[in-house]
Amino acid sequence: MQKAAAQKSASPAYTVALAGNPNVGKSTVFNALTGMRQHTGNWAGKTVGNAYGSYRFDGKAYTLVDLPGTYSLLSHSEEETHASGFLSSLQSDAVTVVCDATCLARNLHLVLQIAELTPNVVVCINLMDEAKKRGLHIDTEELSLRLQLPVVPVTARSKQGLLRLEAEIAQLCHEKNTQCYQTEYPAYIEKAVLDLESILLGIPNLRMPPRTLALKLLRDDRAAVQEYKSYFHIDIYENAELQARVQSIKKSLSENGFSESRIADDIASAFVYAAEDLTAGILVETRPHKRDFQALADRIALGRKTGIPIMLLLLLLVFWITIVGANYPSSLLSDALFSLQDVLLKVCDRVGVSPWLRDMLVLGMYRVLAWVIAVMLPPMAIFFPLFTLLEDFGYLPRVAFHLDHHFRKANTCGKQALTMCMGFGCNAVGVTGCRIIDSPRERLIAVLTNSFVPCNGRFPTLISIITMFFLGAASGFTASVLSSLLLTLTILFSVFCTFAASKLLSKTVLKGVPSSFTLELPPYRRPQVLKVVVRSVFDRTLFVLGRAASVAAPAGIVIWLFANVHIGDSTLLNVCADFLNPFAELLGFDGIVLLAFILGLPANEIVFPIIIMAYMASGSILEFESLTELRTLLVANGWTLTTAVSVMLFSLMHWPCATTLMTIKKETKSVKWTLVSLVLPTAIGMGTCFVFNLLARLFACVF
Amino acid sequence: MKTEQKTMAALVPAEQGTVRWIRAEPSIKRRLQDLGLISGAKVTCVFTSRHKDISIYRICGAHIAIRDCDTKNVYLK
Repeated sequence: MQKAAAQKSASPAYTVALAGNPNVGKSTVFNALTGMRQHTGNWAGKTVGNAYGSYRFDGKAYTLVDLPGTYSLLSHSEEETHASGFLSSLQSDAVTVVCDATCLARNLHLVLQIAELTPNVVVCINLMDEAKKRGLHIDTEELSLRLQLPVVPVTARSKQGLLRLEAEIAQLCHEKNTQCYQTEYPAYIEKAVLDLESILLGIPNLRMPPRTLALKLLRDDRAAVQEYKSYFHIDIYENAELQARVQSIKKSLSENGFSESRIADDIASAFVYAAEDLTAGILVETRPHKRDFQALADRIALGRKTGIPIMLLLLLLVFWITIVGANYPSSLLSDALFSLQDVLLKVCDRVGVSPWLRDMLVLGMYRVLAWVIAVMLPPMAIFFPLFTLLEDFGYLPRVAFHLDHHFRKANTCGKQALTMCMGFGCNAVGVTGCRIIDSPRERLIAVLTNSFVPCNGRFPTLISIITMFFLGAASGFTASVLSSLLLTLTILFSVFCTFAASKLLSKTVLKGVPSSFTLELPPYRRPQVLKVVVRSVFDRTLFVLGRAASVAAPAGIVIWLFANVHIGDSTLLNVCADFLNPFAELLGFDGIVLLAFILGLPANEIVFPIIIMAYMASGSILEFESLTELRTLLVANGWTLTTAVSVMLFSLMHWPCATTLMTIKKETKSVKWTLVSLVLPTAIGMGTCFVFNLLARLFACVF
Repeated sequence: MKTEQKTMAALVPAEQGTVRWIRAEPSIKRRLQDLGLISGAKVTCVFTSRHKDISIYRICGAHIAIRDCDTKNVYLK
C-alpha cells in the first residue's frame, strides 16, 4: 500500500470504481486485485461504505474503490444512495461492474444504468465456476458485441481471469470508450428525452450525459435537481428555459395519461426488457437445471419442522466446539504465561528494579495481560472462524428468514437478524452493519439494541462462569455438552431481550409500522476453510486481542495501584469497592465486580481478568492454575450461584464498550441516541438483576 | 361487480405466477422492480415460513425473501 501511495504521487493513479449487485463477490474481486483483506461474507450488504485499495498493472497505478452492493441506481437505501452518488458524480476513470454469472439478466439492469452515465464500463462476470457447475454456458464474446463493452469472465475465488480484467481496465483508462449500448424506452419517453436533450446540449459544462439527466428529470425532476446540486453544487434550474420546458413536457405527458409514476414504471421495466433481449440466445443451459444440493439444503434449513431445530443445533455445536477446543490451549497458555511471571520477577530482582515498580509491572500489568490472553484468546480464536464459516457458507440469511416473524412482531426489519448476528462477533461491527436497513427508524432500533447480544469479548466470561458454577461434579463430554447447552440458553435469552427491547422502543420513542424489506438468499457456497481460519485468526482475533491487551496493560497498572495505594488503613481498591458495594449488592454482586465493569468500559474482555486481579490483590489466594481454583477464589470472596447468574445477566446487559459507543455516535450522528444506547441496556440490565435477586432472596426465605 | 384478484401472497410453494401490476408506494415499488418484479415477470414461490408471513420466491433466477404485507400488493395474471 505504502509503495503504491508513493508511486501515486509520482504519476497520478487511475481511479476505478467497483460496482455490482449485493453478494456477487465484489469484495472477493477487490481483494484478489489489490491483495487486501476486505472482510467478505455470503450475504447481501456485507460492504458498507467505500473501501479503497490500489494495484499496479503494466507500470501504472490504479486506485480501486469498492462501492457497496446495489441493485440499481434508482433506489434509496443509504448504501445504495452512496454508491449511486459516487458513480453519478463521475469520480472514476472507469467502472467495473461485477455480475453474478448464475443470475446474469438481473445483474445487467445495473450495467445498463451505469452505461447511461459513462461508456467506460468493464463487465466482469464473476462466479463462472458456479455457473459451470449448474450447466450454464455464457457466450461472453457475443454479450460484449451486443453491449459494445468489454466483458470478462472471472472466477475471483480462484483468481481466474483477473489478468484479463486488469488488462481491459487498463485499456479503457488509456483509451476511453465513446459509445456503448443504450437502453431503449417507449416512444413517448424517447421523444421527450430528445426534446430535453436539445436544451441540455446548450448548457455549458454540463456534468452528466444529457440523455441520463433528461431521463432523471422526466422521472422526478425535483429529486434530479437536488441530486445534481448535491454532486456538483450547481442548480441546473437556474436555467429558466430548462425548467419551463421540463414543466411543459410533463404537463403534456400527464394530459395524455403518462403520469410521473407511469414514467418511472416504464423506465424500470425498460431495463428488464433490455436485459432479457441482451441475454437472449447467449445463455445456454448445457444440461437441465440442477439445484439438487441447494434445494435439498434449503428444504432442511428452512423446513417448517427442521429449520428451527437445525438453527439451535448449529448454535449448540459452535459453542460446544468452542468450549471443548478452548479448554486445553487455555490451560497450556496459562501455565506458560504464569511460569514466565516467576522468571520476570527474578529478572527484575537481578537487574535491580525497585520492588514496587517490579510488582506494579509484573504483578499488575503483566498478570492482567496474561489473564486476558489465557482466558480470552482460545475461545475467540475458535469462535470467530466457526462463525465466519457459517457466514461464508450462506447460512446467516436463513437465520434472518427464521427470525423475521419475531422482528416483525417487534415492528422492526428482518435484516436486524443479520446485524444482530454480526454483533456476536463484535458489537461495533454490528452497529456499522445496520446501514443495510433502509428505514431510519428501524435502523436506529437495530443500532440501539445491538449490544444486547454478547460480543466475542463477553463469551469467555460467560463460558468461564458457566463452567465454574453450573456444572458441579460433571466432567468430560457431559460437562462440555451441558455448558454449551447453558450457553445456548443464555444466548437465546439475549436474543429474546433484543426482541423485547426493540418492541419497547418501537412502542414508545420510535413508534411506527414495519416498512417493506426484501432479502436475497444466496446459494450455499463451499466455505474457503483454510482462508477463513487464517484470516479470522490473524485479522480479527489478533486485532481484537491487540485492542484488549492495549487496554489490559494500563488497566493492570491501575488496578495494582488501586490495590496498593493506601488511604488510612484501607486500600484505594477497598475504598472504591466499599463505596460501590451498597448499590452493587442490590444487583446481586459486590463493589469489585461493578468496579471491574466500569474499568472494562474500553473493552469487555478485561472485565473478568480485573475481577480476578482485584480479588487476588486483596490477598486470599496468590497462585492457581485451573478454573476449580478460580472458583475457590470467587467463593472465598462471597460468590454464590445467585452471584454467578447476576454477573452473567449484567454482562449480557450493561453499557456497550467504548468502541461500540463511538461507532454509535458516528452512525447516528447524535449524542442523544448515543446516550440512549448507553442507558437502555444498563437500565434493563440493572432492573433484571435487581428483580432476579429479589426473587432469589424470596425463594431462599420460603425454602 | 367484484372479482377476486390473485396476489403473489396467495402462491403456494412450487406454484408459478405472472405479475400483472404492483400497487404500492413508489419506494417499495422501486425496490421490487429492482429485483425484476415488473409487469409480465414470472415468479415462483419456493418456501413459505412456519407462520406464513414471509415467503421465498424465485425471481430472475435469484431467491428472494419478501414479507406477505408486500406481496399482497403484487397482483398476478
